[in-house]
Amino acid sequence: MLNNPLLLLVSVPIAAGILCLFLPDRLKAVTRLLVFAVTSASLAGSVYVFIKKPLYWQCCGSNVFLVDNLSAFIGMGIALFALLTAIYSFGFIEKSFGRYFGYVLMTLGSSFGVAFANDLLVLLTFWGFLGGTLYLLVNIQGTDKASAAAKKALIVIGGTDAVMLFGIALIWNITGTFSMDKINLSLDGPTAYIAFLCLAIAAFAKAGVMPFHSWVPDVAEDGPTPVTAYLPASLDKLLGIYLLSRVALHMFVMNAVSNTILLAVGAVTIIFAVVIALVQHNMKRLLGYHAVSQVGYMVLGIGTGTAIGIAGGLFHMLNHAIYKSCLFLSGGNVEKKAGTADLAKLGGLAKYMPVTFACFMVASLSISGIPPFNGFVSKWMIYQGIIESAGANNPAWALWLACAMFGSALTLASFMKLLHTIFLGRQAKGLKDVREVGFSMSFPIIVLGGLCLIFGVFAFKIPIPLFIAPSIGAGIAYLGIWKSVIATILIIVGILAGLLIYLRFKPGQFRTVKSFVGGEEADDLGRVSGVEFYDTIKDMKGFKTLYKKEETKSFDIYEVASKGTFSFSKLLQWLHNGILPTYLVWCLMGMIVLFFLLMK
Amino acid sequence: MGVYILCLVLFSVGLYCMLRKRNIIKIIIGLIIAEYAVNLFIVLLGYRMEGRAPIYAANQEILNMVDPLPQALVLTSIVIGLAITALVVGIAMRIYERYGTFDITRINKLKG
Repeated sequence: MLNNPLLLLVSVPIAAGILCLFLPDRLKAVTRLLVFAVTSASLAGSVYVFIKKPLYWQCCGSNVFLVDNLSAFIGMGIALFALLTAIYSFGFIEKSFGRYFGYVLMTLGSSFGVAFANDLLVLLTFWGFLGGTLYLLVNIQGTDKASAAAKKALIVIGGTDAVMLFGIALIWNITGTFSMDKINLSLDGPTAYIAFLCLAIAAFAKAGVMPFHSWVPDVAEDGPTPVTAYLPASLDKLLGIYLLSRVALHMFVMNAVSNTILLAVGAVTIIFAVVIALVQHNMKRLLGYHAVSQVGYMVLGIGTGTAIGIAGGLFHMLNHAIYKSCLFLSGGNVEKKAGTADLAKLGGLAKYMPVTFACFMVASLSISGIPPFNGFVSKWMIYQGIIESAGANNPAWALWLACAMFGSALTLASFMKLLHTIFLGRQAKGLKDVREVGFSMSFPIIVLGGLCLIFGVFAFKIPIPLFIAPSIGAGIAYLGIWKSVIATILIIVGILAGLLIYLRFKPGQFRTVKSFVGGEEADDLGRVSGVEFYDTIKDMKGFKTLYKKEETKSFDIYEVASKGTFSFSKLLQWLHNGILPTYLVWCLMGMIVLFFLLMK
Repeated sequence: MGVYILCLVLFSVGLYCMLRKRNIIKIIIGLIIAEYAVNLFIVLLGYRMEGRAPIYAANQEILNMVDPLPQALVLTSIVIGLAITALVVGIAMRIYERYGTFDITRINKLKG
């Protein structure tokens, strides 16, 4: 029993995590060694599982864990991001060392549990456990804002866990089994639809799809940066989209209606989140809204129902996890060194943090879908999937396609803002002594930035045939003549040509003088941070009401639900006024009703 | 029948007084009214139209006599009601000493 690799992958990190909780802060070196050993062993183990698949672990007469192509690939992603986050956190985390890494390892183990689970109840258990560790990790600093964000995340995810439980119960009612490999339901009747929606809602909340998105920006803004990169940006996306694709591909037979639901949810998420992201003033919050917006593409891809669209969705999930953790981690570098995440106070950091700048730029180009990076390839596949699904079943395909493309353009716009305000432009005051970060914090972003490039240039050679195509088990036919390697060479040639032209006209032929206003030096006044450019959008007609609504949190399901709950409890409070005769009146009225009913 | 309904109306007046009034004294008066309504009702149950007093004498036929049992009961009940009223008024006085008010909405500090 103990030599089963699946069981070991789930139990060893959890056990090591519990051990870590009891290691005092003095033994940092021991903690580091243990965490590094466990995460790299998990990566090795997940690669072993990936090669050896299909594997299973049986208990009580049924397959508790079962690994097929999809879950083996997800497991590998989980281990990779855990290792990189752990290495990054060695440099980032200073307080509550043991506690933090304990939770990180427990998260790792239970994520494996979710990915490998074949029994729906086992899946639900690990799923709920992940919500708990998310709460603990976000709240590790214990500041007021962080604990509010953690509470929000816990309530949104915990609430949807209950919905998921209901969905599982409905599935059991229809099929009489909890084993995912034995479930193949067709959507013919209200019960099956409700079960599908319940499971989809759980996946949506985990991945941060609208309207269950509101915890992601909050956690991104107030939580510790490595936690954001670890959970909402990578693991929760992997697991949420994993559950959605399990539900949509294996457990239910999709039809036009359910596909349209997914398409609509995806398109709305892309557009709304990216429009809101445009005007954010906090770097981490902006990235958080993008983490919401990008999930829309994955849902859109899975909603197309075509092989290439689903492959694009899954590939985008992997790519998103790569570039979004890269963005969050490099953003964390900036925040750590500059001491703020407020865009208005940042500027001109490229000179001081070249490695961070390069990685951040690669990841931003990737998220905006610029060739030759990986984001482009997966978005291209999703577009193609939408075009292929056009027909009687998907009459509004042009709308979804337009939403996806428009969202991509807006993403580029907001990342231009980020790149300009943080790294380019004039240097902000007080950032003179910013230095590049140490090895443990630059190594993960270099790896992730490199993966962005490799997965983009060699997309059709390495990641798709290895990971994606086996996962969906269907042949993928490509449209058009996109050859990524040739395109890359062309792009490099283009950049070189541009550089030659630039150098030909001798840049740097200008002189800098100090600016004065009324005889006083006005250095910081003349600085254009780039934040104000996007305020124009805020005042545009149509957008204005949208932003107002967002500021009053009308889109936030958590706020709306809490308002509803509080007004309900206010009604109850009003009824419970603490005066005995009032209660007697209620008793009397109840008695009259009872007598009336019994006398009839 | 009409007198029974009048009894119910009287009882309802007492009940309303007990449930909706905030002053303890008024609540006690409501209690007394409700009590009298009940007593009246019980006496009326034993009453007979054109009846005579239930006094038994020699050489007399037992005819048209009202039922004596409810009257005896109500007599007891009135005495008990007096005791209850005394007890409740006593408690009300203690409450007034403690809180300085007869308003029940302001008597909400529990101690014990």
